[in-house]
Amino acid sequence: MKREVFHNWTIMVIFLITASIPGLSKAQSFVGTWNFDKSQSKNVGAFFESGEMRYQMKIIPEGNGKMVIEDLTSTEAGWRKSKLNVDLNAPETTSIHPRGNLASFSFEAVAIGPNQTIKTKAVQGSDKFAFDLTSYFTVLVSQGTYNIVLYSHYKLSPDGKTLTVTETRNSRKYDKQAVYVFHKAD
Amino acid sequence: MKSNKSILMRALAYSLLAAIGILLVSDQAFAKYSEKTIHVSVMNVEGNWEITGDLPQQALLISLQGLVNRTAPRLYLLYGLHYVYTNTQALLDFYQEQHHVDYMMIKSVPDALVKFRKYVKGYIVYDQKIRDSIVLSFTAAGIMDGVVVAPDQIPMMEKLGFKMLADFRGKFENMDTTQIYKWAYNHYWNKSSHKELIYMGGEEGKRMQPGVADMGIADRAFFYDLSTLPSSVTQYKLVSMLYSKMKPFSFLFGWHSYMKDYEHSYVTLASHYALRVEGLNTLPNMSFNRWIKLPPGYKFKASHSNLKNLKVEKKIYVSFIQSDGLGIGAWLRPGRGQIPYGWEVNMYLYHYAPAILQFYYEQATPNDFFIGTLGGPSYMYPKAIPPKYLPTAIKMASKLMKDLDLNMFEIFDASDSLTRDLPKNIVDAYFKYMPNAIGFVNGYGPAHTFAVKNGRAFMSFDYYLPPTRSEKEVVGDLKELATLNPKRPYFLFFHVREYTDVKEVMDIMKHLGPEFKIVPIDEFLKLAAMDPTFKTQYQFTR
Repeated sequence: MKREVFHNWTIMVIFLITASIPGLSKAQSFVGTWNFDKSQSKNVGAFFESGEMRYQMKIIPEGNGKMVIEDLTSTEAGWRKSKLNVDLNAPETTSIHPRGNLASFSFEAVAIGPNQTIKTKAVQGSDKFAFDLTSYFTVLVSQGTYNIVLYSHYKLSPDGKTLTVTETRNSRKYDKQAVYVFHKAD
Repeated sequence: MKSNKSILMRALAYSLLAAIGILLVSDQAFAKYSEKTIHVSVMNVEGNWEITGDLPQQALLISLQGLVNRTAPRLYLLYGLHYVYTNTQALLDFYQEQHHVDYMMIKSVPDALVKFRKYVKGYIVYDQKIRDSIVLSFTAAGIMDGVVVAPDQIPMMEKLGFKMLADFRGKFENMDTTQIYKWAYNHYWNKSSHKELIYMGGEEGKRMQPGVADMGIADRAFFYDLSTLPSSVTQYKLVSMLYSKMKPFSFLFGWHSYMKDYEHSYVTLASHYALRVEGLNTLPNMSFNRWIKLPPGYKFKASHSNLKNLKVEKKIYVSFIQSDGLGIGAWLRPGRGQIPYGWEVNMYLYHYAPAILQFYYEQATPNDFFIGTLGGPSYMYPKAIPPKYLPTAIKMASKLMKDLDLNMFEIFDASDSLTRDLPKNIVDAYFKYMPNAIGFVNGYGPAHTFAVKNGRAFMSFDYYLPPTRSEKEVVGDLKELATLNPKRPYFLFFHVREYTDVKEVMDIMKHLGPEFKIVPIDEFLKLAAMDPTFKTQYQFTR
């Protein structure tokens, strides 16, 4: 049977913030379209590892520290889009994520419920090519809900063409980090 | 005193009457269990299934099989261990041991045609450049009592004295798929049986695997290869029309096309018309299998755990169910019997080919547990079935479960692209119309429908094991699930993809600590109902 394709919203938020970090040239900017590279990524979950899934992100600046991140994943019906609004001038960002299963949890029964709020905090990294994001959200599981804390480190390559995101989450501390690699499409 | 001549005449008359009587009942004898030896022929159809490769020979033999087996089991085909159905030799061995089947091999196609000449009125030539003409030729074969051939097989057929019944070469060159099947509908629909339809999908392109064609030909069924996606407007319209002409709960055999549409679009459309889906296009030997009957008084006996005096422990209970495990999965592969394991049963076989189920039931170890599937008496999506038919569908499934000594039922509904969960009214329908089931399981991948009613649990899979996941990653997934669900007991239903065998599952479980406890599915459902630490959940409201 064919597998379902789900979102991974967390990746999106990162790029918003990085795009507005002072000191980055346009060439080094996070703004633009990014294509997921399955072959260079590791421990990212069964959906991302499968050849069936296509994953792309677009980061669209809206000025004054605000940006929109569009998360595009392929489905049997075509591309599926979700949007994340981020405000760099606020201590915390709040978004509503579409309900459904989470691709980063592979084939575990973990889902986002309806009208799920996600709160994110961004922290500048030790250099201008990196930053850290901490996200808080609640997932649905068979016993009810569980509060997830997702730690993400974003690193832009010096040439601005590759973005590497490493992730760990509180529910899976014992495992190796997930490493998502993206290449600039435009 | 009667003369010797008179006595002799009377004896001859009685003998003649007896002979006539024997002839009259001989056909009926094949419809009932026979303790007499059933002499059959067997041929090997292994090959590459390529339209310009081995398919001509394979398709010819499959079509011949359909004609030959219409009134008795006469020809059985071996598909080899590399075929998706790995059990054709094992089943034949079973028939030989348990059902008095004796066989001889036929080595060549000409030999088979000569032996079974009287069942074949001629041949139908398909156009190898147009796949739909091959599909259509199966319909024609059943109606005209012919075998299907490629053009380069014509000399062989002519040499053997067979006549051409139809020639589809060049006939459909300027037609699209919809036009071709409209042509087929106009010419063959009223002559076909409508007992079932055959979706000759599966692999497209250079290959075709029409294993199920023998049954369709035997039944004079209408074959098609039309997309069930609404976006394929004309094909969708035509196939919907075909489905609308079938009686509710008729069968759709075969399988959807891997290039044209999706399983979920196919079963959704079928369910809209309350039709029963049974796969696959590769399903072999059904024209033969259905003749092998059960011994008189045979009762199916499945494994059942002792559910009395169960005590719930503060454990992570794990129970496994293998998808499609009997025919195309891991039944014949290493590890079976070493741990409690659930196997999905195609219940329609109880009426269609009960000896196949007998084969599995009698091979089952005490650790092999059977569960009825899938959604209805066959593969149906309950949310897509018109509400007026849903109670009937569930009751039909319930009756089959009783016949097969099953007390657990599985549902999978992919009619909604956003969720695999079920609304409360659907869950309640299963509770209501399947009163003898001790529990239910939902999903293919993980899902989130959970309920308990009157001591019966309705659960969903918490984990799906895909073939590509490494052992280490799976262990990490299961440990994470244990973290995400901290209450104990935690009930973790585990769905295993058909090609993963029991040994591989055992190897995974070795890495998990004693907190994880493997139990049979009936015990799992009973324990879950006794201490439901899961949250009652239904499909998200929109």
